[in-house]
Amino acid sequence: MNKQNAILFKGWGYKRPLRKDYVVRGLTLEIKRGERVLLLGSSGIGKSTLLCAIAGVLGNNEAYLSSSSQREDEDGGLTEGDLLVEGLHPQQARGRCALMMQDPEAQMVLQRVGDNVAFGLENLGIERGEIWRRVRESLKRVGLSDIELSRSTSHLSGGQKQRVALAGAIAMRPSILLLDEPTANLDPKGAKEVSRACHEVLKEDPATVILVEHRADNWLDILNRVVILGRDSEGMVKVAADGTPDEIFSDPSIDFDSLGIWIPSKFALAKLQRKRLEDQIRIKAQSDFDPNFEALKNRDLTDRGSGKNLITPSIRFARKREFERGEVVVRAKGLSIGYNGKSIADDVSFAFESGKITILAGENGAGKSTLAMTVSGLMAPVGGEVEVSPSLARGLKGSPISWTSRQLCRRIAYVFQNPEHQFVRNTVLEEVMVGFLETGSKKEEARGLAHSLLKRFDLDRYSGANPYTLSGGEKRRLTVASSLASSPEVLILDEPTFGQDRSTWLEIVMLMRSVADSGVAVVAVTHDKELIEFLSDKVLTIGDKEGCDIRVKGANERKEKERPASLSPLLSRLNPAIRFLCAFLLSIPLFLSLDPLSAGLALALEFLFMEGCGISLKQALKHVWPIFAMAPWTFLAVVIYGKKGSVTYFEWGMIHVTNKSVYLAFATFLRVLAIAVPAVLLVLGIDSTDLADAASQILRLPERFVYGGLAGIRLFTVLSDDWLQIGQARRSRGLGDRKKAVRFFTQSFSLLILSIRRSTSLSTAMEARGFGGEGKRSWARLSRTSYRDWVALSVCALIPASALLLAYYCGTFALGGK
Amino acid sequence: MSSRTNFKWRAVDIAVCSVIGVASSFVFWMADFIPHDGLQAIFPGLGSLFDGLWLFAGPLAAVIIRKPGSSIYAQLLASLIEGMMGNVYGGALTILSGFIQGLGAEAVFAAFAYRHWNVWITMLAGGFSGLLYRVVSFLTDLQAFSFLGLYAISYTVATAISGTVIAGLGSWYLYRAIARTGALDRFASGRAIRKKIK
Repeated sequence: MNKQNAILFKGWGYKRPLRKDYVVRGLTLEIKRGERVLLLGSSGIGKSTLLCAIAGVLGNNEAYLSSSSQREDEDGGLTEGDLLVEGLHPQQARGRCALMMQDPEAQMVLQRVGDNVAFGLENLGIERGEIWRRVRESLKRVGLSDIELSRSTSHLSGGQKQRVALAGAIAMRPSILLLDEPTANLDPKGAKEVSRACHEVLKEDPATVILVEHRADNWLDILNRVVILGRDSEGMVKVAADGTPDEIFSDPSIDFDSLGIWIPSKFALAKLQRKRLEDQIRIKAQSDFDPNFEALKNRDLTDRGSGKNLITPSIRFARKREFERGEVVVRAKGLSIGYNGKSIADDVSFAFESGKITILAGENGAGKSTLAMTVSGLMAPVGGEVEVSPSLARGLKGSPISWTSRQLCRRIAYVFQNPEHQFVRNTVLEEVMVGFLETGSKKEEARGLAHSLLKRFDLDRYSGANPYTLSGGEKRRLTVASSLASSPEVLILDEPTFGQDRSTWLEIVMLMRSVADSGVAVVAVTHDKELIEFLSDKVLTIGDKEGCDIRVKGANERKEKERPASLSPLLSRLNPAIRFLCAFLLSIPLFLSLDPLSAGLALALEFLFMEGCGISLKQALKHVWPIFAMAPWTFLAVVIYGKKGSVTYFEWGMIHVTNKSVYLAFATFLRVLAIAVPAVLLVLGIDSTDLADAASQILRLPERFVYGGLAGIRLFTVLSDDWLQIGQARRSRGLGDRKKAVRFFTQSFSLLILSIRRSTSLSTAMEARGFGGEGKRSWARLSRTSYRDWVALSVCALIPASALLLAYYCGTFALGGK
Repeated sequence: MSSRTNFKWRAVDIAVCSVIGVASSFVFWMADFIPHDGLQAIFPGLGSLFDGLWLFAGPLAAVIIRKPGSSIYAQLLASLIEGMMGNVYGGALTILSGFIQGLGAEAVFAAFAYRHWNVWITMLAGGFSGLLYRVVSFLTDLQAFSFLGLYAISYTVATAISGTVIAGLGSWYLYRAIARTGALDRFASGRAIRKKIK
């Protein structure tokens, strides 16, 4: 084995579960130690697959042990050929490689910044003192030295999150660093931050680097090798070109365009490529007639709401722009936008015109999407109104926010940044049919129309496929297609070109042009410079600087509010595991006896205990009132159905009100309170990270499950945002008028799918940080117990014990309510 | 079923099982607002027809993950979070119930050696989960009712039926619907459904 080799692929291939074809097959590639490699190739050639394979997170742990030529793993994937990472099988070499992925959110494992960076080190079993030394050092190297370690990751910008992920990767001191489009999901500001941080890190680090990035401009000075992957006629992945950046990007014989590669602008070839791009877009703009769309002409074109003519953009397309172009369809003057009643920009004015493409451009995320959502009738303006032209309103009164979902979807459509927020059906065909069905087509007709729309978007061959299984570019095309099905006059797209390779980028750009040419007012929220340059008829800049068309108020840093771990300062200092044990000790022994005396006494003592902990009766009642609301019903149930006594007061069917049932009802009533009240008050406010630490260190529960569960709990905070967006997407697609219950259930299902997808990619991020291995983990945070905990435990044991004892001596003790 | 069934948990098993637990906790918590005992007073067994809403995390996780312990883990995690959010039953009792419910479902899947997965076994798991939980509850919080009385029997039967239908049948079809979206392609359970569709 050559010691110089960092990575060696020999005839290597991988087939994803349920796929007919291999993503990568027959690849042979050698990367030497210390090389800085840029890996290029069109979408779908398997670049991410390669990085995952090197990081040892592809398939399950045992696959490599098999010696057969084709190995099936538990993921259902198939591996063939050899891959060695520093002479080892990738799964054995885990920890030597660090992988950074494109989605910042998917790489945040724990709630707090410091804990996230420490996570990989814990999995490697590094000693605690060393962990925190490395955490601070790594955060400093990525330029985040002034961030508090306890800061919540949900309050970070995308660029900050990505730098936290980078810090987590380099803290593990990997000898191989794998960067999978680290800036693709970031705005220019964040992208700059991240590439600067990578530069800083790599200046002194001797690590081998493999970078996947569609736009190499910002990275050239740290690279010394470029590898371009291509496919041969048999579908095998081959190295199509290999050399230094200067050699590769000056080689006119390489067909960069069809490989989907942007040539960095410092090379002469870039100019030519740009020229070709301009030509392609211009030709597209001039092309006009699409024979597939004849079918649409026969459609019933009456809008049932207004009785007016309903012209689909596709029909317009066929009619060669016989309509008025440049008519203002949506406008605003002195509009205030914001959320939760708080304005983030005042005095906003704009006008969007039919047949034109308007770009909302701005450096950072804030403001752009809010404005776009306000215009689309998905968010209410804080002040003022979005005005629409009579031709758009077609008889409707008011502004978009007041329209019903169906009325909205046939006028204004919004295409979300994350296509998955928007999917509502199980097949590509049905996904597009929704728009036709919601605007009054019959099923058969909708099917035909959907097929022709899909043909135009080159998606018809996938019509039976599940939308989620398409590639990134295809998903994007599908969301545009399905939005157009309801024939909107205004199409708003949020970051349509985010993270796309050159070929997909071009597809999207041409698509937008042709949609605009069909008379639709197209609005794109973006910061993509090329998109602005090639496509915009009009640009509105949004930002907090002087000279922007729309001024956003200075983004005020969200202040971290420290959430107390309990209502009681005393309780908050207890170990969380002890607090749970206390809750058990206080309540469970009470099941020994069902009598009013033990339950009542325990309840009284509990309130005294709470008072002693600093929780007043009033405060306590504020949190436990639902228990008091439910208990009377329990009382009633026992009165009428409880154990029968000697004296019957009332009888009817199954109902027997007796002396004993009333007595037991009274006892049950008190015991329900005595069991529920302290249990709620004791655990209220426990921080989940602290609880997980305590569960693994004090209670010795299996760590992989404890921290897996913790990561799941953190996802929950992300999901509330997803819920909001899924709801907005449904409104935008015409499905928002359904019955509340139907809406709730379908939306919940979408959220469940999204969270399962999120957790699957999270597990990859966790594995890339060494999670789930056999080695012993270490603990970055110590979960301590002190004398206080033992005092609390004793008190909590004494309360039910004394209550039960007293009942025993008074003769009311009744085992199991006898 | 695959003959090489691997009982070792992968990271993705833990992650997805956790998310099922977390998502279920929210349903559990909302089901806490159903006036259970009020309905019970109106007609014995009426309130417990909704009990399946508290039981489905275990069977759902098991049919998706298919590893020993998935029912207990998901059901326990879900009730832990439900308890921490605060409900009318109190955290300790909620967690204890969660464990018993998970144990009930787990026992059924274990009896079939985690090798057979179909709608009948899942319904059995949901039903047994409810049965076990309800029987135990008559020994703890429902001591005021006679154990073999008409009330207890109708109550228990209703819980078992609800478990069978909501937590068993419901979980099975929910799993199939999730699998159809391709979200479970990395699981043998997901591939079993998608292969049939293709």
